[in-house]
Amino acid sequence: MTMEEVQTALRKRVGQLLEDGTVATFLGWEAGRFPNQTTPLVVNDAAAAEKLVWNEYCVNTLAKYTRDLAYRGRVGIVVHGCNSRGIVRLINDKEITREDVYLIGVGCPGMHDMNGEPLKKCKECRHQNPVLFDEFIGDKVEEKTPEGRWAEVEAVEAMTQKERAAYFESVYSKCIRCYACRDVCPCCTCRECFVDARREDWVGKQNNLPENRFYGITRVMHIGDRCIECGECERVCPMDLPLMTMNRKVIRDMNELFGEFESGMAIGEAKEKLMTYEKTDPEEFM
Amino acid sequence: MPVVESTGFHSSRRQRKRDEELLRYRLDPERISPDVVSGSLDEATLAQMNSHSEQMPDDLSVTDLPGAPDAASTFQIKKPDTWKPRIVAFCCHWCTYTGADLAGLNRMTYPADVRVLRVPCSGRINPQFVIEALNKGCDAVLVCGCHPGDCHYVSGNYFTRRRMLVFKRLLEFEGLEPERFQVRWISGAEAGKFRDTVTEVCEQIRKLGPLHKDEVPFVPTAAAMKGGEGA
Repeated sequence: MTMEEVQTALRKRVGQLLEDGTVATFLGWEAGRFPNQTTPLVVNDAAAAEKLVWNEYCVNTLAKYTRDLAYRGRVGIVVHGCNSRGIVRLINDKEITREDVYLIGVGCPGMHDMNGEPLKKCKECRHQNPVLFDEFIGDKVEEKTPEGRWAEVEAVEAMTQKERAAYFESVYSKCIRCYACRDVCPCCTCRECFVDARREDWVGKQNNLPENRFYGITRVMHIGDRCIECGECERVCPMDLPLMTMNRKVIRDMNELFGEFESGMAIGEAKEKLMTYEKTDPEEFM
Repeated sequence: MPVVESTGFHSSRRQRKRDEELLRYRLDPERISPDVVSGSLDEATLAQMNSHSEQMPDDLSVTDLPGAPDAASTFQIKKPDTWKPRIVAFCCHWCTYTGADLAGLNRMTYPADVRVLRVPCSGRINPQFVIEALNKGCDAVLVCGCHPGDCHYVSGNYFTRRRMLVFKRLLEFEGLEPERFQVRWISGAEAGKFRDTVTEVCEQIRKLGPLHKDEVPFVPTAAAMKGGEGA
């Protein structure tokens, strides 16, 4: 099935689901204000289902919106690879339950930006088909696992200590601390984030190098063992900071030290790497 | 009044406010000796200062007055020979802190550059503590706990081990010298190991020099804003 056919089938099916009350609301994409652009859409009645689109410009990962919509009842959502892993992540973090969501699976051919260039996050994507769904529309795409998952990390590691210090200094001095990377991340689900504390607390409100670094390193430490590598943080970053490089550094170290893992692949998967321990863990200090 | 050069990148109100704050910080009379900024202060302040100096005996300099800032320590860049490292050691109450206590009882000597902070368990040490310490002026951080298997709370230091393994690699990835963040297991009986570790870390940091070369708060310069290919 082509994407247009999937889109037609999707609109019809969503209309039915809303009509018979299987879902209270439905999450998808609608056409944006500009050509080759889409924006997230919440459908509340069957007539509005006609606005849904499914094309190669559906760049947003929608999983995190389900947490905010679950109070309305069951939330339907279109899931491709990263959406479904985000949903699994939220369920494993007990942010939503499996009953809160109704998942319509679609195979993802990889998304493009407004200029038609393939997105960086889609070029790096390792799971294009949903890992969890209730029903599937269209055909599954052929899974491709791109090489060079650690290429960026290795490039930075190859630098000298002085070069790395200068590199990250330039990264953190560019950060404007808009917290878009946190807001979009399906792993960043604290009800009160440490950076939002209203009383004087862990991190100040100034935009300066030490505090930007404090935020950046803490963000990586908080999500490192749960990151689903959807690459949304890097996509939304207005300053184009190499956020996935930092995430992948931690992910790679954990893979190396505590065994291979990929987060968000199945409900009830093994505990996160920093939430558990083995007595035989390696030691680099004594 | 001297004018802080605008970077040209943020001509916003926020940037102007930051520039003003920086200027106020630089000209803070509590922080710098008056002669450094003479000519830039308003006349009333200068007159007040002069009236003070008239009452003073000739052999007493301004810096000798009680409460007057010591120009050498607060304004000038610290010289390497007088500089001493500031090291924070997070020590677990049940092992390392007891070990440090034993070192004291045995009259062992070790450099006084280390500040010991007691925590209930090494598992209590949040990576944020370490970044905060480094940001707020420490030159190195030492994290110490019981040997794996000896934790008073059964499993605390197993979690520490995993967390610190990842965290240490991340800090080094981001350009911190490996010596500036170290983790050691020191039991309550290992007073000698505590002394040796502290001595070793102090020596390493003395060789490396200060982490913060510049005490003025960070303001992005044009070069820093442009520098590096971030993406």
